[in-house]
Order: sequence, then structure tokens, then C-alpha cells
Amino acid sequence: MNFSRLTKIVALLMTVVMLVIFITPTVTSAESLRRGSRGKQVSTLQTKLKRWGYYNGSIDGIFGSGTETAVRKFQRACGLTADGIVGPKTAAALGMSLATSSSTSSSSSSGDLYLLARLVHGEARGEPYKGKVAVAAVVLNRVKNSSFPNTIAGVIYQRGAFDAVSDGQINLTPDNESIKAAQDAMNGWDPSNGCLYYYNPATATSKWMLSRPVLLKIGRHAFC
Amino acid sequence: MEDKGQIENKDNINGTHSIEEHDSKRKKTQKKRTDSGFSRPLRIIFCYLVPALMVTALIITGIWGSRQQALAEDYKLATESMYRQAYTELTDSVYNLQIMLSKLMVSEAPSTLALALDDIWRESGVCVGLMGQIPQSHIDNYEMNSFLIRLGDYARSLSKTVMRGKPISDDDRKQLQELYNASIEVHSQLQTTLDSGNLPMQLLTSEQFFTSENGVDTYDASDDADSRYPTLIYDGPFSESTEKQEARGVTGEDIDENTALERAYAILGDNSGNLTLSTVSNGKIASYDFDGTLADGRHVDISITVRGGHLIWMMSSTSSDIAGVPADDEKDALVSIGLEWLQAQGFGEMAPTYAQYYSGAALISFAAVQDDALIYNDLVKVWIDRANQMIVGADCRNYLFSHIERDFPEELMDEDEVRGMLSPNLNIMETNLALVPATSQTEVLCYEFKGTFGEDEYVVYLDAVTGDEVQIFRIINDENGQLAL
Repeated sequence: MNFSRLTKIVALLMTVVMLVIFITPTVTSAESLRRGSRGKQVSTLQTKLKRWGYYNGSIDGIFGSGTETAVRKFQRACGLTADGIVGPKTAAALGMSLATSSSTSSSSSSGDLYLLARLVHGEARGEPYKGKVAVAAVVLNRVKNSSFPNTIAGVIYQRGAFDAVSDGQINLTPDNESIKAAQDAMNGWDPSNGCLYYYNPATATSKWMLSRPVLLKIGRHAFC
Repeated sequence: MEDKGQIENKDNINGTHSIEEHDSKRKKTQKKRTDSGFSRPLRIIFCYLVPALMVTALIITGIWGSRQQALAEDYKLATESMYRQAYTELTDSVYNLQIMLSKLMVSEAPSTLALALDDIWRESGVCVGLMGQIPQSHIDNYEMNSFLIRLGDYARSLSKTVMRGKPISDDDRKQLQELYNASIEVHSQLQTTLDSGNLPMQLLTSEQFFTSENGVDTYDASDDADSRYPTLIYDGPFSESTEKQEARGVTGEDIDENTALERAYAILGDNSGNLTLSTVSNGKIASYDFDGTLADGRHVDISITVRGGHLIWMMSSTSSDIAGVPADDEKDALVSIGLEWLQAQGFGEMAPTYAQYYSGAALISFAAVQDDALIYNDLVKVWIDRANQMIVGADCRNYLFSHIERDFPEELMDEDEVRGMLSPNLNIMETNLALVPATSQTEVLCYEFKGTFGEDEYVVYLDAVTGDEVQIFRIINDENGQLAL
């Protein structure tokens, strides 16, 4: 009796686990090219496939059966699911962007500012506005300091320097407040008062960090 | 009869009993059936199908797991290769630095010196970029980072000296010798680590970023002073003296919290609502930071220096999202609002320089003016709400760091004479006298020529005493205003 009930539960759990495992990666993004798609991106796709020898047809910007076969061939060659649909993974393998031009232009218009805003969003969501500006100011203070890399990207992407980079939260889309905070910091507002480090006393465990004299506190962060 | 009846009764009883017995037997068998499954199909499901499914699931999970494992292994290898590449390139670049420094030891001609120094500056930039990529704890590598940045910074400042026709002093020669020795040391350390194959690879999280592999686990301020690398004395943006610069514009007596609060109320004027102390800040400029709500309900942050009660910054929010560069008459109106506020705060003569317009605010940078010369280091930035013309922010940090009474040179070249030394390509629109930063710690009095070449706008600074070209800025007009690059 116990055995069969156990079997049932285990089987149920297994099914759930399997469903989770197999369904998650197959969720396709709304942005994808498939049979019937048309436009400039299809032309780009065809050009790439043709250049690499997967496609022989004409570059007409229409995703037809020929293009689909070529995409399948390409996907098989790259070890991707050969579904004939150009989703984010296939697009990445092809080295092309599926994003519409409007969204890319806004994100690349002022590179450093947007990068800083993304860091602020990832690191200081839920902090008071002054705390967000202070986080951005710490990055800019590091850029000006000899102990750190001397570019904004260098400081932000320094290995292990920020939690938001280590756990990928930096890739979230920043809200307007984070963008404004980054802008205010770049324009000179420094509520951190020249600090190079900050940490959350509730979660930090690094002895080195905790042994530094705290110079001020804003929201949940201690600056030093 | 009685007996019979009794027997009958007994029988009856027996009968009922047997029925009950039968019932319970049936129940038992039923129960038995539930135990082993209601029916054959269910039994098949539980005995064969479920185990079969489980095995399949296990196999699939296993395959999936090993694929993920292989993928993770690929990523790990790819990342490690990048780290190794960075480490190897860093070792090579430091070796190049060492060779370049050694050549300086025996070179004398200004042209070779200037070229070699510029090469060192460039190579040091490469090293600093690579330093950011190697996965080593900040505690273990910040000193080396500092050494590499300052080495380049110093070479750059020395190269400027050489190009101005001055010889390299004995002190500089001595410093170069020390740098050369240190570079040999740094290279041999890197090479040893590289040869051993034990590159620092573990660093993935911020906790590890602040955990030394050499057992140093607490911060000690005295470590900063006692560096393994030579201390360089020079004037550049990353030099020790620049990083430790005091705010020389912060003067006066120390004030207490209540006096600072009164100062804050006075600065906010009629609109000040209710402020409370949010933090005592012991950063570069010790200050009392207050926050609260203004009379009109907006949030405000304001920071007052402990020494002298100067305003460092105040920041509130705008009431609109107006963006884009305004028309000229609105620009003029905004500038006069800013100037009026600065006068009310007790700043001396100030003049507007550049402006940015974003998120409903106009951000105008005002520079101090002394003897008709703009002093670009003494900047106060003022944010003005474009919807209601109220002051919503100010930043006086630059001013507080650098403002003092300057001594200007007596003998200046004639403006027209200097103008003759400009590039004939520049179509001049405006001329001013300006004190501009020459290095991080020195300033030079210049004639500022604003002009155009083709469609582009430029600002050229010529030394007012010698006529030398000091600085050239290109003005970038974008949707937010003007930037000088």
C-alpha cells in the first residue's frame, strides 16, 4: 500500500519536474522570425545564411520554405532545436538582433548613462532617491580613483565588484527614476560625499568591508 | 415450541450472523482489492506503467543533466580562457612597460623622451583595462592597479613637461628609476603566477571581491600609507595629492546641528517646510544632511558643511517632464533666475557657462568671476524647474573644493596679438578671459575664443601670458543642451 502511494507521489513529482524542465526553455519570445515573416530582418537572415552556405535561394525578405529549411540546417549544425523558427537563441547564434529598431535606439543613445542607470536599478531598487544617486556617485568616484579601473564600464564590470552584475540583475530594464539618478550623478550630485564603497550591513559578511569606518548611511546602505 | 422457536431464533441469529459475516468478508475482499488496485487496468498502471515512466523520466533527466553539465563545463572553460588571456596579456603588457622604462634611462633627446612617455601612458591604459578583467580580489590587486594607473598618469604629465621644452629633473629621473625597478618586480610576480598555472579563478561574487587570498581580512587604514610600490610625486588627475585634496573653499568655524538646520531653512527660504537630520556625513567634506518636505509638498534633500555652514548640495523634484532645449528668451530668463538665487545665497560675481535640459529641469553651470575672468574650477550647478521657475537643486562641491582669491599675472599679452596666433580655420564669435585648469592642481589664465569651423563649434584657450595653445574643446549640441568635450 505504502509502495504504490509513494510511486504515485513520486510519479506526480517527476511529471511536474519534467514539465518545468521541458516547458521553460521552449517559451518563445514574441520577437521571432518564422515562416511567413517579411521585412528587412528576413533579408539580413537570408544574407547571413547564404554567406555561410546554408541557403541557396534569393534574398527577397520573405521567409518561405527555402529559408525555413536553411534555418533548420543551421540550427542542427549549431546544436539548437531544429524548429525552423528564429527565436532569441538562434538569432544570437546568427549574431543578429531581433529587437525592433525603436527599442535599440533608446538603449544605445547614451551608452554610459544607460549602463549606469541599469546598475542603479539592479543595485538600489527600493532605496530612497538620494540612495540611488549615491550608488551611481560611488561608481563615478571609483572611475576617478587610482585603485579602480578608469572607465564607467570598467568599474561596473570589474569581476565581482557589484552583486547586480554577478546575479544578472543589471540586465533588467531600468525605470525612469534610475535613469534620472544616473543623470544627476553624472551632472555632479554626490550624496555619497566622495565614498568608494557601500554595503548592506544586514547582508554583508566580508570582514574587510565591515572593518572599514562607515562614513554615512542612506536607506539600507552604509557608505565608506 | 419454545425450543424450536429458540432454535429458529438461534437460526435466525445464526442467519443474521452469517449474513454479517458474509458482509464483512465481502468488505474484506473489497478492501483487499483496494489494496492491490481496484481493477486490472489500475494494477497495470501502478505495477508497470508508473515504474516505466519513472525510469524514462530518470533517463531523460539524466541526459538533460549531463547536457547541462557539459554546457556549464563549456561556459566555465570559455570564461577561464578569457581570464587566462587577460592575465597573459597583462603580463606581456607589464613586460613592455618595463622595456619602455628601461629605454628612458638612456634617452636624452626631447622628441624620443616625449614619444616614449606617451607610449608608457598608452600601455599603462592597456594594463589597467586588463586589470579589471582578471578575477582577483580588490584587496589583492588595488595597489597594483594604483601603481599602473599612476605610472601612466605620471608619464603623461612628464611628457607634457618635455613637450613644453623643459628638461627632465633629477627628481624625475630618480622616480623613473624607481618605477623601472618596481615594474621588474611586478612583471616577475605576474610571470611566476602565470608559469605556475594557479591563476586566481574563483572570484565570482561581491563577497569574494572583498576577500583576500593572502589572508588579509580586515581593513587597516595604515595599509594605505605603506605601499609596496614607490610613491610618486607629480601633478595629475590620479596622483596621491589630487586624490587627497582638501576642500579649500570650506572656511569658517565648525557649527552644530541646529545652526546647520537654520542655515538649511534660510537657503530654502519661503518654501521651506519641515526638515529633519537624516545623516551626519563624514565623507570628503564633513556635513549635516537633512531631508524633509517643502511647503508645497515636494521632497527635499539638503547638505550643509560642518565647517562654516556652507551649502554643498540641495535636491528636490521638478513638477513637469519638459525636455528639449528652450528658446533663447526662456534661456535668458532661466539664467537670470539662477543668478538672482546665487546672489541671494551670498555667492560673489558669477556667470553662466553651459546648460543641460532634462526631466523638467534646466541645469545651468555658473562659474565664479574674478577681475573679468571666468574661473572654470569654481562651478556652482543650479537646477531650475522649467514649469514654475523655482530653484529645485544646487551643487556647490566644485566651488567648495577650489574657491579662493586668485593671483593673476600682471603682464598680459594683447588680445589682438593672441588672436593672431589662432588657427585661421576658426571663425571667432566671442572672446573672454578665463582661468582654466592646466593640470589637476594648477590653473592658467587664458583668452577663451569661441568660434566655429564649418558646422562645428569649438572653444580654444590660449595662454594670456605666452600665447601657447592650452586647451581645445569641441562643443556638442544634443537634445539635452551643450556639452564640452
